[in-house]
Amino acid sequence: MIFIHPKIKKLISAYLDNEVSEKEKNLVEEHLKKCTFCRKYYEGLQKLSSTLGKYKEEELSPDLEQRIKSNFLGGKYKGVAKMKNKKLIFGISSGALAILLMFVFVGHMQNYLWRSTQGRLQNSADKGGIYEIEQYSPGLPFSYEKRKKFANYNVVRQPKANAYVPSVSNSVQHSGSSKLIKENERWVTTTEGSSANWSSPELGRGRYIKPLSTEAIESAAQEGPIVIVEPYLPATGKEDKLIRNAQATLEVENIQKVYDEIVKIGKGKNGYLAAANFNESTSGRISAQIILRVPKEKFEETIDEVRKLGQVKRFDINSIDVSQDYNALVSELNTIKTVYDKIADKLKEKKTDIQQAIRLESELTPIAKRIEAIRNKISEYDNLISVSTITINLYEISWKLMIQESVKETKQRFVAFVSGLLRNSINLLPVLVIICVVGVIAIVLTKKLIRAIKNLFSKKSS
Amino acid sequence: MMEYRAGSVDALEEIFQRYKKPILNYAFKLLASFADAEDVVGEVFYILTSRKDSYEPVAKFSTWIYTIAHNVAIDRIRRRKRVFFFWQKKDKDGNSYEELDIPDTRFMPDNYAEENDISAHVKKAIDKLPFQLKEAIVLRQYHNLSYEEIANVLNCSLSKVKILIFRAKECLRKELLPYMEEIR
Repeated sequence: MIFIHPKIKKLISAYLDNEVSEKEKNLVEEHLKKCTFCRKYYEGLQKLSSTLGKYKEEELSPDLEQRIKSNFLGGKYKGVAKMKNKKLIFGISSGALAILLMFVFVGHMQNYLWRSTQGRLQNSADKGGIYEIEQYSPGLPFSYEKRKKFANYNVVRQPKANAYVPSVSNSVQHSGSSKLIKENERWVTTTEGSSANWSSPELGRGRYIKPLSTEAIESAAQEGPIVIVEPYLPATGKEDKLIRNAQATLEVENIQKVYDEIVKIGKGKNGYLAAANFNESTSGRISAQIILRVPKEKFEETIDEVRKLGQVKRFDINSIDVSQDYNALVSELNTIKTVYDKIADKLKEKKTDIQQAIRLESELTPIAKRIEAIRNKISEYDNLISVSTITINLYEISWKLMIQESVKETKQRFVAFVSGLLRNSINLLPVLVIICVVGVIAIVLTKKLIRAIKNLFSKKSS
Repeated sequence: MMEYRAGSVDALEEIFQRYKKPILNYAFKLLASFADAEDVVGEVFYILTSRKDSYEPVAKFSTWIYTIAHNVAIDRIRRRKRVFFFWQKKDKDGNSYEELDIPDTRFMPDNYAEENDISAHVKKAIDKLPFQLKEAIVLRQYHNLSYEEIANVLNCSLSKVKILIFRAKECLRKELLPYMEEIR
């Protein structure tokens, strides 16, 4: 086996080229005396040097020399030098472009962070107001004060319909899914299975459906945190003067059949059909509007029966409390009646002369008119209160239309998806640019590192 | 060079006479193309005349001129690569191939005279070397530049030059081993 000392090997190469220090020179010479292998290597390199010396040098012929001379003196290579200038310009402009891109990117990122913060604050506002803001990550480039300000701004916005119902004024803080409880004339709610209209001057309007039973509500309250909201409660008091109406939108398979059923229900409840309209749209879909009037005692029963007739798309019940108006009218009627009776009594007296009688008569006429008007109004109210109005909109289920609608929806969703994708990729563009730049830098650095490590190892081994 | 800078036309003539051959051979060894080497000589002297004012006699003149030649040669190689990238030629079957250079028939072993046989092998071995190794060994072996001067030309450290020359010698030794035996 031929063994050559690796460190000496490199020194021998430099020694042959007279590129060693005095100390190294002595070291090599000493070693060569002792080591046969290294001496052979040294001889080999000497031979190599003489072999390389056999390379025949190229000569310049006089005409070639003349050509080169005339070329460089004649400025043939001007273009090459100019190209270097072009390179410089290209380098500078691409550098400037890179800086510009960086600025765009930084601006964009700032905007993005700002917007995402806004979004998160908005979200927190939806969930329950400014109190949650303090929980937000402190890593954002905004001060607490700024964020709070933001939150205050957002909290006045209307919360999402199905989001957590926000609390009002002195309400209980809540988190998680909510349920419903009545407490000191306030409704405490969770979103599960309940909905009714409610409104708050601070937070706009929200809605939930119908109250659960008290037992269910109380047990729900024990399960987790709850929220108090001010609901719009349907009035049920028997003594109250309430006008109650309902609007229902149903999807049915056969409109004619359902129409007959509604008429039957109306008759069964001692009600009557107030109006009915049938209509066929341009797409061939048949619809109808039926107005049913039933006595107020049968209102709930009728609603329950109507709801079973088809697929309920929308259902609204509203009550208008006219007690105040009604009572005002009644007391006004009583007062005027008293005045009327007094005048009438005076008129009946035998002492009155004709002139007086005419004056009293002319006084009585407007009062009688007013009494009539009030009576009419009261009977109108009585009618509206005693008989509730149920407006039923019917739509025929059309498979053709449903397919058309689903195709349309799919189309819309696809367009939304593609445009979203495009928008996102445009948004991501600066990020991609920076990733590319960082990637290139990383590759270059890694290569350099690997080279440095290799060099280190080769140095060590030699 | 300082004389030429001062305005002496004879000085330029002298520089040209002294360096035309070394630069031509240096470029030829690096680029393996006589036409390119010829252009390199022209370009080097064009740069030399156009930038004479930027010359400062801090280093040896030879180092300066070899540095110019080194830069021009590297520029040539880059341009060559770029041209091939855009103008890849296609054969009959539609496959692209690279026409690397115009072969210099004068140096083909077949056309070479018997006594020049070793020279052809040496050329072949040098051509096979990676560019950096080739440059270092050529400057050392054929242009007698010291390691320090080579470091200046290649714009690298002295230790790197040592390694480059050592590696180049190792490669050439392996490549030329059979022909070295012949000399013996």
